[in-house]
Order: sequence, then structure tokens, then C-alpha cells
Amino acid sequence: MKIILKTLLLVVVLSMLLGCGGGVKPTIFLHPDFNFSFIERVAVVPFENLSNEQGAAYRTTRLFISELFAAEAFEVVEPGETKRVIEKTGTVRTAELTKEQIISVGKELGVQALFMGSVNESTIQRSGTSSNAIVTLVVRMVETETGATIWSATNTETGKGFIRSVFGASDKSMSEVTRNCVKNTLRTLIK
Amino acid sequence: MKKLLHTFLFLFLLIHFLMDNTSASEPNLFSDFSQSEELALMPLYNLSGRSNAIRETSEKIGTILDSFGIQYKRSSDIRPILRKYRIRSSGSLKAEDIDQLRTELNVKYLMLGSVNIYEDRANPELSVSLRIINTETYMIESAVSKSASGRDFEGLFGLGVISVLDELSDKLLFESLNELFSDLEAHESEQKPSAVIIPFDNTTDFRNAGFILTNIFLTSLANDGYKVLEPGIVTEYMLRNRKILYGGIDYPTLDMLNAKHDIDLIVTGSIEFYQPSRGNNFPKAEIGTRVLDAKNAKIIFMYNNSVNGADSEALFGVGKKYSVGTIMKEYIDDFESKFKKKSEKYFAQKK
Repeated sequence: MKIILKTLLLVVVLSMLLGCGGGVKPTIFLHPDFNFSFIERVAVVPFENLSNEQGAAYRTTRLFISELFAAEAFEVVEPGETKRVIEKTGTVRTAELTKEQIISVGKELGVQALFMGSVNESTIQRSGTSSNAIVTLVVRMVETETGATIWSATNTETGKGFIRSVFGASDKSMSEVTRNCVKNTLRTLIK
Repeated sequence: MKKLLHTFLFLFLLIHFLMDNTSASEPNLFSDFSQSEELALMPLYNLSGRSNAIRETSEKIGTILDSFGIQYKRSSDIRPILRKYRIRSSGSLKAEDIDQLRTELNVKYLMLGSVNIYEDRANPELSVSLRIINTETYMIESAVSKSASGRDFEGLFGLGVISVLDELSDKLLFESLNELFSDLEAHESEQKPSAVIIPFDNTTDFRNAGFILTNIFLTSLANDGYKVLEPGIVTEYMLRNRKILYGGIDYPTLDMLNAKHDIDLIVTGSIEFYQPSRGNNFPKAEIGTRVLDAKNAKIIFMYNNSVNGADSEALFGVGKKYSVGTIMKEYIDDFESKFKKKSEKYFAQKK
């Protein structure tokens, strides 16, 4: 009887930990036939901001480049140069480049792939004295020869987990949540 | 009885030691500047938003330079020349401005700087950045940035706190100028890579956060022995070509800098959070920096971090920082120590 009770308690605690902590898993697309070792040099097109927070896209783009650089998987083009070349295309919606624009930007920057994306949500939910930062990021990687998408991921991260909610540990800042979101998104591409 | 006496003696020495940390040391005499007026003191640039900051700081700097025995051309003598050539910003100078000032004033060095923070409150706060540039090479020869709030000097039992801005500025300016001129003499023979700092992007709500960080950064690098190009040269190029270098540096700008000046490194980045200390809140800042090899435009180092005044607390509140300038400097020191290891490896591989 005792063993059954203990097992039940363990199952309840485990399900609480798993159920409340993680949120939704990232949605991923990875091109099954593409040879990723072909990509050596990439550029990150400034992310588009679809959230209400001013500067969210700038911050996320910078953190994304930083994490990409830290992963040592690709050589990353200086963002100032990427911005100059993108500005030449005259586009406003940087997450939606046409096939021709992707090919021409890729040629000018000398890269094999471009990262493009948008920050769909960057908000802080307040409830009493506690706050909860939420970030949703949609990123994709397109190769610059044909403009085809070879990787895509959507990820949402929140600052609240089970431990933080129950034990009242300090809330994660927006920056920490954004960094986690970027890290976990990139982890689906670079192990 | 003896034990009691010993305890008293120990406590007396301890308190004396803690109090002694706040007293100013003896001034140095800098022989290079005592004979002729080779140095001109430019009017300081005000980033603090306080109208009295420049007048009061400049007066104190003048007094300290006099006490060092330094001969220099005063700001009041320079103002007519600035008006004549319409040099509007003395916070950073264009190459053309430097040439005109060298010819008119007949000086080898210009001393520039800014008052970054000047807060006269219960916990006063001051942050200054000063640099000496060579008018022939446009390079920064020596630089210093100092920031502190009165509570940064708090020792055990709350001893050592400075509660008057006047006292804080006396201490900070003396230390800054002493360091500035000592380093000028020490760095003359050093050979370190040359660097350009592209003004940091500011995505915070605080108007001057980017300029303050850029100033602290360039003084810190120059102080570490790097040959740093006067930032006004970059600004001049941006203005002439109607460019806004927001988000990084593009290759045409990089090519221009390489063509005109022999540059090894480009340093740039952004400040994304800036919160000065208010009441019992600790200051916070979030900064991202990257370094590029100027010869091939490769990013060779990136460093992002958040800094908080409470991070440096050792025990019972000792070590906490209440000045946002100080925590920004801590970030830069951390950056420099990490970059040093990385750059040594990178340049060794490159050779």
C-alpha cells in the first residue's frame, strides 16, 4: 500500500514539474536533403518586430548573432554591413525578402545562407507583485542560391517555471528570457 | 585590562585604516608639462543634464592641474578660437578641427573630456571621462574614466561614506588627473594594437547612455595601452557621407578607416538597459560589445552581459556599487580580460 502511495506521489510531483515548467516545445522544420556542411558564412537580417515592445527586434537580433557566434558553427557577417546591403534592396519588411532579393543579398555579402525572422511577442505580464516575461521568436534559414528555406523554428519562452511559481524565486528579466529563447531556438539547428 | 587595551588599539587602527581610504594622496609633479604650454584644456562636454556640472568640474580641474605644476592653455583662451572656426562640439573633434587648434594654439596635446553623471543628492554621484589626444597623430595618448557614488566608499559599520558632492568630486578628479598624466608618461614606449570605437547604439530610454558608455570604453582601452583613434574622426566621416552607423559598421566605412589610418581593431556594440541607482535600488546595465579585425572585417569577439550594483557585494553589504558608471566600468574590465586571452590566440594564429 505504502509503495503505491509513494509511486502516486512521485507521479503527481513529476507531472507538476513537467506540466508547469516547460511550456510549448519549439516547432521545427529541417530540410531533409540539404547538406548543412556546405554553409560556412552566414548573415543575420535584422529581425522584424511584431511585438508592442520597442527595441525587441534589435535586442533579439543582437543576442541571436552573439549565440550564433558563440556556437562557432558559421562565420557571421558584421551586422552593419548586412544592414547596408539590406537597405539597398529598399525593403521594409525584412522577414519577407523575395527570392531575387535573397539571391542578390547573398551574392553581395558572400554568404551561403541568411537568417531571417520576427519577434512575434515580447511582453511582460504582471500579476500582483510578480511579473512574467514572454518571448516568441520565429526564425528561418534560407540558402542564397535558390532562396529555399532549409531550417525554420518557432519558439516561445516564459520567465515563470514551476519552481519559480511555487517557491517564489526572483522573476527572470526580459533579457534572460530572450536569451533562453534564442539559445533554445538555435539548439534545434546547432547541437 | 591588557586584552581590553589591545582590542581598543586594534579597533582604532581598523577605523583609521577605513577612514584613510578616502583621503587624497600627495600630488605628483609632471615635468613634461611644467616648462611650456604644450597642452590645451578644451571645454568639457556635458552628458549629465545638469547645468552647473561643467563650470564646477572645470574649475576644480584647473586647480588640480595648477597644483601638479602643469602649464596649459585654459578653456577661456580657447573659446574664441572655437567660435572663430565654428567648432561646436568639444566632446569629440574632427581631424580638421584638431589641425586648426594645433596651428592656432601651437600645442602638441589636447585634453578633452565629458562629465557623464553629476548628481547632487543624499548619495552624490559623479562620473567623468578625460583623455589627452596627440594633435599630430589624432590618437588618444592617455585616458581615464572614473565613476563613483558616495556610498561606494562605504566600509564596515557604514564608515567612509561621502555625502557631499564637492568632496566626492575633489577625490575623483584628483585621482583621474593623477592617473591621466602618469599613464601619459608610462605609455609612451608601449606598442599595442590600434583601435577605433564606433559609437555604441543606444536602445535605452536614457538619452546619453550610448555616449557615456562609448566614452568610458575608449578611455578604458586607451588606458590599457591600445592606440585609440579620436572618435570625432569617425563622426566626421559619418556626417560628410550622411551616414548613420546604427547597428554596426559597414564595409565602405571600414575601407575608409583602413585607407586613412592604420587600424587593427574595430570595437562597437550597444547598450540595451541603463538604470541609475535610485533610493535603495541598485544600478543596472546591459551591454553587448563586439570586436572586428579591421583588416578582414571578421568578428573576432563578442561579449554580452548584464551588470548589477548588488553583484559585487562581499559580506554584510560591503562591496555593493551604487554608481552606474562604476558597474559599466566593471563590465568593460571584464570584457578586456576576456578579450585579452582571445585576441592573443587570434593574432598568434593569424601570424
